[in-house]
Amino acid sequence: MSALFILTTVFSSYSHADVVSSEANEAGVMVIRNADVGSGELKLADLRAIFAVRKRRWENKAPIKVYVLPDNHGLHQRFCKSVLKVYPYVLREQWDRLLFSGTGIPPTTVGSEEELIALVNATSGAIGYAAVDTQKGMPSIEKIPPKSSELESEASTK
Amino acid sequence: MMRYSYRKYCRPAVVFLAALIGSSLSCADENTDLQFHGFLSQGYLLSDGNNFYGNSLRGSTDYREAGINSTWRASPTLNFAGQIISRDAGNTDNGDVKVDFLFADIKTFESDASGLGFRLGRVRNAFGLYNDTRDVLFTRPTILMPQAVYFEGNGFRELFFASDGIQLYSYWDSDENSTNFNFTLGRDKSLSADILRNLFGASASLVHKAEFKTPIFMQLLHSRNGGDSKFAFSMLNVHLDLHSNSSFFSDLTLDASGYVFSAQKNLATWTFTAEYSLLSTEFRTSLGNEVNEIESAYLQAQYRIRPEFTLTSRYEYIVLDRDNRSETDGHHLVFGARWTPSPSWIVDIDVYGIRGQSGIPGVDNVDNMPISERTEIFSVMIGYRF
Repeated sequence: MSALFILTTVFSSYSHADVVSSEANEAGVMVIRNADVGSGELKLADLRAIFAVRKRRWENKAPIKVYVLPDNHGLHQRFCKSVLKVYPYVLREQWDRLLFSGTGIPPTTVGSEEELIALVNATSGAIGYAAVDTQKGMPSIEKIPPKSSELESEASTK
Repeated sequence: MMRYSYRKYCRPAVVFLAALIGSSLSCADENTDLQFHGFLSQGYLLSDGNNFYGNSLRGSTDYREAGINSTWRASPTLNFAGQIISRDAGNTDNGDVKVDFLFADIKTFESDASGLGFRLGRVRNAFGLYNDTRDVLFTRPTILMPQAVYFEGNGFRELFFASDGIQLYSYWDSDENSTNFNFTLGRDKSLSADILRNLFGASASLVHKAEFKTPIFMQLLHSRNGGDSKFAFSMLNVHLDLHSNSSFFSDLTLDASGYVFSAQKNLATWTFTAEYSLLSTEFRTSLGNEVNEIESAYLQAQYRIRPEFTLTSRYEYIVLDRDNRSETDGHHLVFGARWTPSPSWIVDIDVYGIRGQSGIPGVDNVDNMPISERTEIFSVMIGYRF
């Protein structure tokens, strides 16, 4: 219940970043979105539907693009358990079924948290997650320069 | 001769293509809406009692699967997906390249908590928990699918596999739960000689033409708490027209209707799965009718020692004729270990103990008659995906 309450509180990072995030939950994980999809409330059911790729469009009809870290990444596991409240292996089974039956396109896996934040920043309709920097109490999102052209070329060489 | 050449060149071509795409396209920009993925797996089987996929009594490597798929998100409401597959499984499958699925997915409605859409083309049938991705090692629990419910060895797989037609899908979400409904209506299709041989063995030569009429598949899947618990009810209804070319063997029809109840519980380190299937078949000929009920079920426990290391055990029970239970029953006991050293690689080692003839591929044992009531199989399979 507390996680749901926390997710309803939307925190906007400072002006030049194109990412909005929920406030971090007790595990230090926050959901981040590209600013162009708005900052409306995302409930647990919404997040599960988005990360299971059932829900494909935002309210403004723009396509949802989901970015995640590898299954064995600590932050991915914390996100699954504390935000979605599912086991990472259950999510992986759902994605593999989509992929190999053609019934959906699983989220794009990226190598690092920095890259994930950068892609959410640079991609219209994107959603992902990030860890909060507890020392500064500010999201690391702000450390990422939002130069989309550089970021896209970086992604394409991945 | 033409057919031989086709097979000869197509199999290496698929393997080559898989390797090529794996090495080049998988590193393309995943941020685009066009993606390519694939899989390749190679098995080794060594058995005692009966052959299973090739001459496994002496050790068989005649079991491999390869596939390449592509998805294209043309718009938020329109996806295209296709997969070609080559599967070699002893004499039951010859490695020909087939279109596994190829369809347009039109999502006609989506709200906060529900959605509805259609798929047009060749779609995989949702049936039980594993049917729609049964040929991918990464998405099935063991090297061999459970013979109970999925009937891997005796030719029914071809009937369950995929439909050319229309598939309606829908879902409803609540805070904790999600319910999916899937309905597939296939169009008529002729069955190939290979499928008939798997189904009817030597009698297949008496069949001149076989037509599969308007197959229907349905599944209702209820997933609780993000997939911690899953409950599904699946149904199929198919009709087969068999035309004979023999004056001693009249034309006949086969009606089959099947039901599967599935339940799965996912815990942090354990997964428990149970499925029960009842398949009723009715043969009709000018000489009379014959009704038969095949009943099967399995219980499976999986234990993850570490995220990349899983142990699996399964007990299967199959009765090929419910009216003659004691003479047609089969018992399968399976122990398996799975190692996934990286997300792209998988290594499975399984041991199967089979009592009874259920699931034993007849076409692999033509030179090993009569089929033994006892089969032990040791198998290893290595899989790669991209």
